Amino acid sequence: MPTHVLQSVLPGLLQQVPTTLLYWFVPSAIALLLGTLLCIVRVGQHRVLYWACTVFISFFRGTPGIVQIYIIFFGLPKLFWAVHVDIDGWPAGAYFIIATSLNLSCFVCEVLKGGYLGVDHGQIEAGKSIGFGRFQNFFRVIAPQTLQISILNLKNLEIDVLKDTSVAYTIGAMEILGYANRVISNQFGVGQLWILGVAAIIYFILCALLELGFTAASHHMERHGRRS
Amino acid sequence: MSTQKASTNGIVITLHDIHKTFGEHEILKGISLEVHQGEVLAILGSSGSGKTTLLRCINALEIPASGTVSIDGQKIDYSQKHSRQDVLHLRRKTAMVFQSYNLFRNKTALQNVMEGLHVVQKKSRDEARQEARKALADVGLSEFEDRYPVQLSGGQQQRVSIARALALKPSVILFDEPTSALDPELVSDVNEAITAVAKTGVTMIIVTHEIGFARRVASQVVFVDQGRILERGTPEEVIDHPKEPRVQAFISKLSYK
Ligand SMILES: Nc1ncnc2c1ncn2[C@@H]1O[C@H](COP(=O)(O)OP(=O)(O)OP(=O)(O)O)[C@@H](O)[C@H]1O
Ligand SMILES: [Mg+2]
Repeated sequence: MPTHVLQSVLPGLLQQVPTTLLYWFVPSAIALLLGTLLCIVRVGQHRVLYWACTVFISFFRGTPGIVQIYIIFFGLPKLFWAVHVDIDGWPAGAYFIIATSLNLSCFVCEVLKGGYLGVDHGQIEAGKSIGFGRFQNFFRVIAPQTLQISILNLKNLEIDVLKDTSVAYTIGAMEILGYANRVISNQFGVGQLWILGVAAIIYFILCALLELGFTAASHHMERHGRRS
Repeated sequence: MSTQKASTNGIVITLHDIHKTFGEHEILKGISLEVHQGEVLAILGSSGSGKTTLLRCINALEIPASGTVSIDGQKIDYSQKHSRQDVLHLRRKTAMVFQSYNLFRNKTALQNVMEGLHVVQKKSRDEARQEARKALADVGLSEFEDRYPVQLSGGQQQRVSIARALALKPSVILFDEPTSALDPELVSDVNEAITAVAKTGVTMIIVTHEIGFARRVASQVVFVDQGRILERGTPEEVIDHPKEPRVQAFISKLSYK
């Protein structure tokens, strides 16, 4: 094993871990919020909003993520330019985060919707019957139970998102894979497989940690499902 | 029609000409009734006659098409515009015990009872806990406060749900066939708990198929048939000496069970 290759590249790769985590975390946080709002509309009564969201969601679910990233990357500056706002200075990562947030929101919405439909309606009525207002019932009964039902599907989504941060390098945003590729081309391909292998191991470790986190969370949420 | 109790206590609940339709079907066709403070009203009637719907119209889980509901000073005339706040204020005068318990399954028995006290009535956690413990003791479940619903029998779950309702000190507790989902040997525990609560002077409305229990616990009985009140009176009048043939048939059929 060419240890000097590793020695020279590992610190740089590790330095990119925070960026990768940022590209994972920010879209995840935004998508949890936006996906919840979309879900509320999707299970709600407002026809116009319902159809607007449905069209939005089918676009993001029915087209490749990479195409969406390109469209946002090239299209958004033009859109802003049309209203005389210059966003050319934005880093590529910002476009990646926007595209991923929108895409992920749609998937989160569908997962949450499935979870919501699985919530025992009797619990919602019990909340009403003890005098919970709409928001109290949402935050005290509906949201926690929806989350509990959805948690394993959310985990799968989140692991995909973490891995797909590697796509960011295609629009020039720097993260683990982007850095690896740059080093590889700087060295004219020397040690390519080793470098990619190390990158893969870093991704693997990050995914494993995420998996552990979710498993612990779902275990905590299901503590009341055990009989003893 | 007024019982002895009724003459000494004020009216807590008044329903006037309640109508409710689901789609094309008119399920409640003008129901009026009054319940006095401390009274226990039993609602009898055959399956599909609209008993559950009537109960749910009282706490606005179903919104009547027209008619007025007034509970302890809170009044809604459903023929006129009413806000979500009106509904909430009315509902907070009530508490409900469901056929299938409907305990919050991610909360312990104690937390189930505390929830309304803390979140709705804004009592401090300590105060809520204290009152919840007292309510659980009233239904004989003190040792079970840390159990989750799945760790309790049906009868215990139903008693927790009675405690949850009781703790709120509502103007009325509504029961929808509280024992019909239970194994026969668990029924008496729950009925005893309800009877004990009744003795403390809490106003209650109970939908039930158990004639014997209604006979013992109720001070007033109404018989609902096809969305109307067919007969009303004391348990002696309605259960022992019904006048209407349909009520007679219903009572005799159930009594032979
Ligand atoms: N949400 C609903 N939508 C449509 N129809 C309904 C709804 N709820 C009740 N109904 C209908 O209203 C009628 C009365 O129902 P309800 O549940 O009030 O009867 P019930 O007297 O409680 O019967 P049971 O003794 O079987 O519980 C039934 O015909 C039922 O099918
Ligand atoms: Mg019913």
